Amino acid sequence: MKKSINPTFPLLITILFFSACSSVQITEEAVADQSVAGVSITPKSTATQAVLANAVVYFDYDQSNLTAKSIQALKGVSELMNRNSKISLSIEGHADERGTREYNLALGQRRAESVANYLVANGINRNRLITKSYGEERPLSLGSNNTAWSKNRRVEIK
Amino acid sequence: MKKNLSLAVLLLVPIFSYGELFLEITKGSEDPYKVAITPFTGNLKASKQLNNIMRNDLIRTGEFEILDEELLLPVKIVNDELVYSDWKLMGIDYLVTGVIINSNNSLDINYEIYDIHKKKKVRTSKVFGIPNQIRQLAHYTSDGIYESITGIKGIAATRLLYVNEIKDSQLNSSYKLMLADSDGANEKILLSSSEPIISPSWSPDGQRVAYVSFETGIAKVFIQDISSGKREAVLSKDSQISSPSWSPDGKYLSLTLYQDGNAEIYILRLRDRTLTRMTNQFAIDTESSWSPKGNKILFTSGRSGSPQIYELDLRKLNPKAKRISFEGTYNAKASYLPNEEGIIFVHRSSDGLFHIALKYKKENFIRILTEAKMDESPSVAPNGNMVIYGIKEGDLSMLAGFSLSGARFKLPASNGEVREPAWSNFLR
Amino acid sequence: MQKKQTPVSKNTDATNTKLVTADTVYSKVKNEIQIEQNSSLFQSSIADLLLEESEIKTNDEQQEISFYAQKIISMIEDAWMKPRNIPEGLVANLRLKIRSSGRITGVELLKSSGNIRFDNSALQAVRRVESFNFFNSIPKNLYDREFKIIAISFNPS
Repeated sequence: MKKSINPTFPLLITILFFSACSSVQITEEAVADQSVAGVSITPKSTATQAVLANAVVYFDYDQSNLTAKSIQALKGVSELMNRNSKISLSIEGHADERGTREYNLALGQRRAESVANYLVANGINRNRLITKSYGEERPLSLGSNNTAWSKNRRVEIK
Repeated sequence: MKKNLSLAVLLLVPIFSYGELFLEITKGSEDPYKVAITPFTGNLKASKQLNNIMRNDLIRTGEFEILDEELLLPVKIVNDELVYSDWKLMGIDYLVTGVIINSNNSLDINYEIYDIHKKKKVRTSKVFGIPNQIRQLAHYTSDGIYESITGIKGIAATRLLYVNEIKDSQLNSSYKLMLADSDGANEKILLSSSEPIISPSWSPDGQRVAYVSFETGIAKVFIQDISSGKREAVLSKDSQISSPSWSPDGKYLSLTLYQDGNAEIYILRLRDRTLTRMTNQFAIDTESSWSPKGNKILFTSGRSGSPQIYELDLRKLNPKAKRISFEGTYNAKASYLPNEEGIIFVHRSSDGLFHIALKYKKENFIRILTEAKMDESPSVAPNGNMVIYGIKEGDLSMLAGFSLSGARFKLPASNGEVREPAWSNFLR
Repeated sequence: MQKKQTPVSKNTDATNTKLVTADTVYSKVKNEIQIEQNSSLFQSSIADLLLEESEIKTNDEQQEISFYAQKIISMIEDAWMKPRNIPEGLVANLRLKIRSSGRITGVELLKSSGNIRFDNSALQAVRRVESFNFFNSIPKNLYDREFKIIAISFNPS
């Protein structure tokens, strides 16, 4: 878990007479655990984690549909889920930095849904899956070029 | 013969019936008001600071040209009247003079505006304040000058919200929701977090902020009171919520929910937290924003196959979304101009670059107003004359702005990167 | 401009006197009638001439008005700074009160364009002009009738 940073800003000192405002700090305790919609994500064995780490799904610019390549990547996940009925997954969608932030958040969600829908179509119960989006907020690759962008248009499964 | 004469008159006077000569002007060029501001007397140090701030405020509007200090003439008063001729010769339109009155518990400014063409004083004004408030007083004075001359309300005394991101040596990010004056001064931290903060939105009364925070692991909308820091999640649901936008009367918040897994727009009534669904179709619907009168909503929808701008009339019983952007394959994050004459939004041109664009309601083409590569998140000033937005210079994100009259300015971060600006309403 | 000339019918024998006989009476009466006719012809020709003259005068005047109007438009156009990024099709109308010296003593916004910056630019143009230096050459009655109060339309499209 990331540690939150205590900021010190030289400009922060003066409290203006007419425009009082308070600063709020989000501390570690405030960051809740990763449960969404009543589904808690199961802890995973190293082996499982390895399978999932390999199953990153990539997308074309502006697109949220699965390519043949991504379907390949998901086969392993599908099998894993069918073998072990206790596993639940967190499917996290992302987008590259181009375009507006909120639209990218929604696009990341669509990508996550695409992956979830594929797994459901392969016999996996929907309530074993949580989808969420980070839009462009968690890029894997920093940089404003095609390589970086293509790496960021992804869905990660955890 | 009378017939011929009146015919002649008619030819020259197509519209007016009082027999006035009627002429048509069809072309002109561009130029700001030329204003001279003499250093205000009374307190040398305060005067310098005041002058600097006012100068910057007025130049930033793009509608004023402030005479360089070196070129200022001494103000000549003869028989209680200002001697106008010298200023006239310099091509000055208006002269501003003033006095700073400083005492233990007050700092007031008296200023006067002279119309050089009309050869008379057109405004005497006083701004009341307290010591240590010189910046705010300067902004009030700038706004007073701007409004006296243009008839338009000034925005120097408004404020900005934006998000700041700093990466440490391990490239771990920390995020802050910031508040500052319209010129970027007086930065204050409203929220510090190790998780992303996006989409800050002002309440119309300027007392509260809504924003999206990822602190619980997913996107959630919070409302925070600026002075007390008190905050709460808008809905206790465990699902993702984003894209908050306040209604002009402050009673509603439009939001994007992902309940069926697809981004859809809802309106939340703050009083009792009841939700009303506004869109229901297979594609993305997000980035809602309200019209100044609160009867319409703009939003971005992917329903035509690519992001475009749509409008919903809330007065109708079953409002149908009306598409209003037709140029290009990406139009998003629209907001109305305060007079509803048009909209400002992000547009992707055919070369794939993102710009801030303007489309007037009665025109069927768009005007591209910026020229960097990845311009985003525009926010319109409450007088409709300026827009602030995010740009990327090299690797760094910063804020930039322009006035419709063509002025440009930049607001780089004091530390790290800044983005997602939101311009407040008028605060006084 | 060319002066139009209509031929004026000339009287011929009005002054000839003859012995009064029945014939001569008849011919005299005939002559008188003819004179009558001639003189009414004459009169109507005079009337025509007068009409012609006033038409000519109106055309001249029209030209003069046009000439000064064009000078006014020119001076204002030179001083008008059209604001950027305003919608097309905006029109603002102003009414000006002008002294015979050419000094603009009053400006009034008759019809707003609906856009404050546009309206302001029109008002500013007039303010900058201040005075039409050529007004001294406008004949007094023409000034009184046409140029004391004028209306200007700012219509860039």
